[in-house]
Amino acid sequence: MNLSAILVTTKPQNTLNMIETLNNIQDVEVFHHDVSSGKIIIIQEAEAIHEEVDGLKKIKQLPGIILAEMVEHHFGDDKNLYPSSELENIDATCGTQVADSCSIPEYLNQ
Amino acid sequence: MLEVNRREFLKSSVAASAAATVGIPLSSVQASSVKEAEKDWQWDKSVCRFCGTGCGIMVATKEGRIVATKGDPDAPVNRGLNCIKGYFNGKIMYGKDRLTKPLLRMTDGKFDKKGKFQAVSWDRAFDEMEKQFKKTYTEKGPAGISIMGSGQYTIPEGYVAAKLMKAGFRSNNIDPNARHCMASAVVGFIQTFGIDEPSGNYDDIEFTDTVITWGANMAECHPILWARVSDRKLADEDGVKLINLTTCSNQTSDIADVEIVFKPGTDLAIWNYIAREIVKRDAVNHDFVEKHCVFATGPYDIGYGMRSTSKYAFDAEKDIQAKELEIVLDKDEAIAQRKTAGMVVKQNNTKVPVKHWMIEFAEFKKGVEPYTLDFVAELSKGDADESVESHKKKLMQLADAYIEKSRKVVSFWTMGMNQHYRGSWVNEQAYMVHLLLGKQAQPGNGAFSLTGQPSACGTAREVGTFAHRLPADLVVANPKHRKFSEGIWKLPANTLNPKVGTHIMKILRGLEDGNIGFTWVQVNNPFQASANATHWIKAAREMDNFVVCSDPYPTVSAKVADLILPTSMIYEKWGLYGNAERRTQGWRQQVNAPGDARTDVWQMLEFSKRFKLKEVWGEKSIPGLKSKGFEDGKLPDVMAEAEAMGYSPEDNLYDVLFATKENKKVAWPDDAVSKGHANSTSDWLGDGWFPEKALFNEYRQFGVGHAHDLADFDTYMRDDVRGLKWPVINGKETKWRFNEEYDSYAAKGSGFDFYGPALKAIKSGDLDGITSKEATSLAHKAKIFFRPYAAPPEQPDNNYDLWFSTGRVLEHWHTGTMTRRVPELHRAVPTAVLWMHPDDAGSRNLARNDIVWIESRRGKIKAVLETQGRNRPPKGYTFAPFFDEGVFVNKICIDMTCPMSKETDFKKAAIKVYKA
Repeated sequence: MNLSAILVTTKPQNTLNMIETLNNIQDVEVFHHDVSSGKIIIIQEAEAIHEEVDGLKKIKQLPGIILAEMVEHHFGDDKNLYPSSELENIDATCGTQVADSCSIPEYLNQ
Repeated sequence: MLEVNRREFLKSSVAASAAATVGIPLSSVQASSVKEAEKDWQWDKSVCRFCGTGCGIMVATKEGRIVATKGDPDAPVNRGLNCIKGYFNGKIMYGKDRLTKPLLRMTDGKFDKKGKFQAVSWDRAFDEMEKQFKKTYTEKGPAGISIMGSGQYTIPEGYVAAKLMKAGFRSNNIDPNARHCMASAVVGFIQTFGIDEPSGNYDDIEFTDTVITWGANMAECHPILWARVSDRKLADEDGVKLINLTTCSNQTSDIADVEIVFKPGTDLAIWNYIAREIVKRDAVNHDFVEKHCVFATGPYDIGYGMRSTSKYAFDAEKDIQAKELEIVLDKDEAIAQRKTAGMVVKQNNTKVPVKHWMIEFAEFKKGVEPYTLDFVAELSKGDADESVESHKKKLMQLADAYIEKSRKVVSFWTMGMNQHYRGSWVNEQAYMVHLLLGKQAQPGNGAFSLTGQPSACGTAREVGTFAHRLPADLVVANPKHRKFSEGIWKLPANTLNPKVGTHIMKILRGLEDGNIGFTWVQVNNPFQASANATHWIKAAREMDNFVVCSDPYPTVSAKVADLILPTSMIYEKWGLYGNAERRTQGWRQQVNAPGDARTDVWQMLEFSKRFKLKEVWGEKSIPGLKSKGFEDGKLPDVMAEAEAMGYSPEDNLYDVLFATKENKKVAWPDDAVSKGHANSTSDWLGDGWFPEKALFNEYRQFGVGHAHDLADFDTYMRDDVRGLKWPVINGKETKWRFNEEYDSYAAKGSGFDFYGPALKAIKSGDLDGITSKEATSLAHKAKIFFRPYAAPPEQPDNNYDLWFSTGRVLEHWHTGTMTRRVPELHRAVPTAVLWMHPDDAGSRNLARNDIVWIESRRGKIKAVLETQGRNRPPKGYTFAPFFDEGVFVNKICIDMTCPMSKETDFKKAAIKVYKA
C-alpha cells in the first residue's frame, strides 16, 4: 500500500467546487482545506505508485488548478519494496544471478 | 477489518501531517493523530538525490528502514513540496538488482578481461585493482590513470577523490560528468566575473516580474522551481511576463506569454540582436557599465572540441571531424562575423580558445551591428509553419521585455545553452545583456545558470574535481594556487602537478587510443552518458586497460567494467551537497547499506592504504609538462623534502593525506552531531575518527577569507539550519553577491563590486585581435563579451535530414540508473521514444508507435516513434531522452564540445529516420 498526500491549490473562491471534483476521483479523498488560501490536502491510495503518478498528472490537468504537487509519501507497507527478509535475499542472489545481470547485453555489442 | 482501520488511520494521519507541512491549521485531535501514527518513526532532515535544485527532504526511518519521505516544510528551496522524482528518494535504494558484492571478471579463478563476473571479497577486489593500477602507473605514470567522477559526489567524496589523485598520485586526470552538464556555465562565470557561480539565488523568482527561459524546459526538469515561477505568474497574471525560448515546443511554454521556437545554434544571434537593440535604443545603463564593466572579445576560429580525423574515426564521421581543422563560412556566418561567404577559415586557435582581450565600446557596437531584426529573424526562425513576421514580432517582444526600464528580469538556462558547441560564448552573452542593462546581482534581476546535478556546484566545482581545478576556484596551472594548496595539504613543494589533466571526453578517448590504462568510475554512468558511445564501449571491452566501476546497480558502465565495487547510496552515508544557488546542505546516515555495499569514501580511503610515499612521490614522467620551476616532462622527486617534513618513504597515503594526526582528533562517535545515527564508513575503518566531518573541515580552509567561506560541518548538521548560501560570514549567508548591500566582500561605497580575481589583467585590441603589448588590470570589474554567431558544424543535409537532440523527461533522471529501479516510475515511461512532427512522420510513411531506426554518422538505434504528447517538435526536428539504455541515444550523438569548456553538445546532431 502506498499513500501520497498531495497539495492542491486553487483560487479561494473555487475551493468548495474543487473539493467536490476531487472527491469524485476514484481512490482520492479530500482531508483538509483552507478556503482563505485555496489550499486542499488530498490522499491518493494505490497498490502501485504509477497509478498515483498518473492520478497526479490528471489532477494537474483539471480546470481551475493552480498547483498540484506531492507533499508526503508513505510506503512502509509496500510489499514489493520490502520483501520478507530483504537483506538475506539480496545476499543469496548475489552470486550467479546478480553477476548475470551485469553481463553485457547484446545491444551493447551491436 | 483491522487492516482497513489501520489504513484509514494512516491516511488521516498522513493527511494531517501534510496539512501541517503546508500551513493548514489543525485541531489538537488531528495533531495528536499524527503523533500516534508516527510514534515509532524517526524523522530527520535530508536533501534530494536528484537534480541541482537542492530540495529539502524529510526522511522517516523505523527499525532500520525508510518508511516515508516528505518535502521539508522548513526548506527554503521547496517549502514542503516534492516533484515526482523527489517522491521516490526513499525507494531508489531498494531495486531488486542492487549490487551487494564486489564482482570481478574471471576465468579459472584469475582476472580475465574476457571472463564473466564472479563475486569476490573486498580484499580480492582491492588486490586486483592495486595490481592493475600499479602496472599502468609504472608504465605510463600519473598521466595514464584516471577517475571519472561526478556532480553527484558528496562534498567529502569529491574532496577525498581530488586529494587522492592530485596530492597522492600526482595526477590531474580526475574529471566529473558535470563536464557534460555545466562546464560552459563555469567558463562563462570565470571569464565574466573572475569567480564561479551565480550572483543571485532562487528568491529572484519572487522578486522579479519577468522570467525568460533559454534552452531550459523548467516545467519538466526543474519542476519545483517552476512551481515557484507559476505561483508568481498566477499571483500577477498581467504584470508578470514569461518568455520561453526553445528549439522544441515543450511544457514550459504552457503558461508562457510568448514561446519563441528557434533554429539550433541561433541563440547566439538572438542574444546579439537584443544587445544591438539595447545599443540602438540607447538603453545601455551607462553609469553601471562605466563604473563596473569593460568590453572584451576573443578569437572565432577555435574549432569544435572534436578529435580531428583520426585512425579511430568511422568513415561516415570523418567529414564532420575534418571541420576541426578548417571550415567554409556559410552566408549567415559570414554576415555575423563580418566576413565573406565561402571563405575558408583555418581553425588556428583550437589550443587557446579561452584567449580574450579588452575592446572599446565602439568596437563592441561594430560587433553587434550586423544582428538586425531582419537578419536574425530569417536566421533563427525554428518553426517552418510560423511566418517570419510572427517570429519577428516575438523577437521584438523579447527585446522589449529585457529593455523596459522599470521591469526586473531573470534569465534562466540549463542544458540548451550549456551543451552547445559555443556553450561558453552563449553563457557570456546572457551576462552581456544583463550587464549592459545593469540588471544583474540585484533581487529579481540577473542571469542565472541552473544546474542538473545535486552537487555540480558544491562538489564538482567548489571542491574542484575537474582536471584543471583545486578547491575554492584555485587551478593547478597557477604556481601561487599550488603553493597555497600544498600548504593546507602539508605537501612538499612541487608535489602538485602543474599540467592540466584530461577532461572526461579525453579520458574516454584515451581508453581507446591507449593513453589511459586505468580508470575508476565513481557516482556516474559515463559509458551511457557520453556521446559517440560505441567508441568508448569498444575501448573498455577490447583495448588493453582496466576499468573499475563503483556502483549500486548494474549500469552500462558497470557492465562494461572489469571490476565492480558495490556502493552505498545517499541515505546509507553521511554527506553534504551544494545546489545551484550556492546553498550547502548536509544529512546524516539514515540506514545501513545492504550486503557488502560500502561507501565511496571508505573505498577510496581503503585503497589509499595500499600506496607508500616512495611509490608516488619519486620523480615521475609527465609527457608534455612545461612549467616554470619544473624540468620539462617531469615531476620532481619530493621525498627528501618529505622526509625533512617528518614523513617516511614507508608511510602510506591513508595516514599522510587522510587519517592525519589533526583529522584523527575529530572522533567518532560524536553524539552531539550524530543523535543516534550510525556512521558505517567510520565503523568499517575502525580507527575511531569521523572522516566526513574531519575532511569537510579541512576542505573549508581553502575558501575561508577567499570569498568562498563555508560554515563548519556541525553547523550544516544542525536541526535549525536548512543549508546556507556561501560565502557564509559570521554564520550569515550571502544572498546576492557583488552587491554591496548584501555581500560583505563587496567594497564599501562601491555599489557593486565584481571582485572575482581570475583573468583580471588582459591585453587590449579590436574585434580582430590584440593590439597592445601590456596587460591592463580590470580588477573589480566584469567583462561584457562580444561573441558572434557561429554555425553548427553538423547540420541536416540530404542524407541525414533531421535535427536530433537529447535531454531529460520528468519521471527519469539522467541515465535512469535510480529512477528506472522504481518499477512504477519505469512503467510511466517504459522506453524512450523519438518525438517527431506528424508531417515529418507522414512524409516518411511512418506512423505513431512504429518502431524506427534512428541513424547518424556514428551509429544507429531503434526507438518507438511518437508524434503526440508533451514534446512537440517543429518540422525537421526530433527529440529522444537518454535515460533508457535500451534506446542508447548516445551511440548517435556527436562528441563535439564547446572548445573552451570541453562540454559536449548533445543537442545538435543530424540523423535520418526510417522504418525498422
